[in-house]
Amino acid sequence: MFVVEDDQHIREMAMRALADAGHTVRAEPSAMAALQGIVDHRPDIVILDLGLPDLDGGDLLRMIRAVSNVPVMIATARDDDSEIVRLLDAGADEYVVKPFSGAELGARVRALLRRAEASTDDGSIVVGGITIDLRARTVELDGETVVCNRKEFDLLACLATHAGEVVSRETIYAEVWREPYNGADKTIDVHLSWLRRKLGETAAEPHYLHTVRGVGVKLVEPT
Amino acid sequence: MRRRLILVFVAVSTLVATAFIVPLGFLVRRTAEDRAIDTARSEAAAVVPALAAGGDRDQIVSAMAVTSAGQEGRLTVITTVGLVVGPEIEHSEAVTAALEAGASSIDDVPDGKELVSAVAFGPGDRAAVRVYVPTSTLRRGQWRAWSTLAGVGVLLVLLSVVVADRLARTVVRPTQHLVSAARRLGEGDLEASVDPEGPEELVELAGTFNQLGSRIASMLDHEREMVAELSHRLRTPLTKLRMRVEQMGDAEEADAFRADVADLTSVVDGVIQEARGNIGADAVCDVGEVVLGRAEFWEVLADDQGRPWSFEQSGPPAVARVRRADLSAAVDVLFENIFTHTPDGIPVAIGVTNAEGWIAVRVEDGGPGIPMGVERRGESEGGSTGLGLDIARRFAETADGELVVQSGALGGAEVILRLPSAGSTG
Repeated sequence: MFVVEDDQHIREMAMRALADAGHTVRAEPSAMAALQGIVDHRPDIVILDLGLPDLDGGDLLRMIRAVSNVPVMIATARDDDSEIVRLLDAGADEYVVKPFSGAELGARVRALLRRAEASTDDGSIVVGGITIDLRARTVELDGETVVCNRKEFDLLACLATHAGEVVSRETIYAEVWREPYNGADKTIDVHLSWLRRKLGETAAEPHYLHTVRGVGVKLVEPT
Repeated sequence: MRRRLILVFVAVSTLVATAFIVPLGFLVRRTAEDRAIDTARSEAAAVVPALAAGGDRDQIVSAMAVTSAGQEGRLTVITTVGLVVGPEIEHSEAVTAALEAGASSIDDVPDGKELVSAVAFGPGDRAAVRVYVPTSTLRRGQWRAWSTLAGVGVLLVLLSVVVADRLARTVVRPTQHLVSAARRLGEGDLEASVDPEGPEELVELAGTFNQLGSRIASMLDHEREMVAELSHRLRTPLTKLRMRVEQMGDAEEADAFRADVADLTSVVDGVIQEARGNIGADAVCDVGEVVLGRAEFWEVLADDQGRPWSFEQSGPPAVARVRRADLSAAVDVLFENIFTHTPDGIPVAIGVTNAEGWIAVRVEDGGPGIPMGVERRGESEGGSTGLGLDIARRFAETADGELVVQSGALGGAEVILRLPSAGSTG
């Protein structure tokens, strides 16, 4: 792990939380030292704070992307859509909004690692005819581009990371919407409907997306 | 203002008309008198040849007969030899002066004037030719001239009213527009602006007013952005606090601390949301377009669940003074409510109407219906919270509208979100 955070206390506590979770952690308080460290040590994940003393975190992200495909998780104080979309488009793989706890940071790191493991060397996850490029945030179905909005992509990526497994609505809500599931929200259903339409299937005749009533949703390779 | 300007014009034109017409009236009167006296003088002169020819009575009578004064009995000839031709009169001072001293004169007499001409004839004889000019003759033509002058004066004043009205309109209309825009600005509509028109000063005032509105809006947005930015910065120390709590040994104390941090986080989130929500809060949006967009978004789920889904809009474009994001969230709540509380296959009808200054977003389903008052109670009997409708109601009330829940034509619930049309507030 590589933590880039200028606040000494947050940096130290993040390092301790991640070390307690069994990760080897390095940290730097400034952008240029971090870039050097990332190149030298090739970490599995970079946790990047945006407010750095020598360079904007967004600029550092672009520089990291120029030299490495390492998954980058942004730690940001801003939770508005436009800012998050900007960061994801700039090459971030995940984000965590301040104030976060050590436990939340650990959970996000685990999710990011799962996605990294599920993806191929070029950062893609393939399930049947679906290819999800996590880095470019693009989806292809049988070679044809499928245009997805941010939530649809995140939902598909979440299900693809757990391909073949039933993913509970609680997990989907926590990983994609980052909110506790209240049991009645139809947001997941409507986004699933849109995904089904874009994947050329219906709820009555599913190919990839299967709803397991009362349990959750799973993405499977069509038989 | 228009009435005042007209009154000023009437006052000025009346003064001007009076200043010209009164002296003109006196002049007309004087001219009429002079004309009557001149006529009397020439009539008196008509007798002179008869007197010069010897003062024969018959000749004098003949000469008098051709004059109108003679015919009307206003001409009298009195000689020093005792001859009196014409009506008998008392010897006035003027007649005596003419006979004794040969002095001609014009004097006022009751109901008119008398003209006395002294005429010498024969050796040492004198005659006084007296013509009486009654007031009616002196004033002849005067009243008609005065009426004409009064008519011209009145016409002048009326003309000034028309001109004043035309001029006032060019000043009053832009002023009224400015007043209306200022009132809207006062009521919080920071997009209120006015087309610069009218006199140069009003054009300048309108330009300044428009700048004022946009400056206030930009200052407010700047202030809100500052609040949001400051609140964002608070999230870093809050992160420190949350991470510190995890390292606390005493579990009870850590829980209490965690709850305090959660409260603080929620306050900061609230401030950010409030500040962000208010940035550009004065925007307007097309309700029909937003509702159609959300209806199309939810239609795919309706399709998957076999729900007949219809949308229709009537009336003029439904523009309301609400933020697009807030309206979208409120409409989503109404749609989500249907999917949560009604079984698959139930038809849904969505409508947007704009009439009499009110926009109504109607969402109706063929389900079992919603118990009355549920949107206020905070919970429903459908197994989930009814907070959604409460959110929609709060949104409606914030926008000076209302949320109505009633039984609809499809047999289920009909939820109507009513918003004032932006056009109705001017």
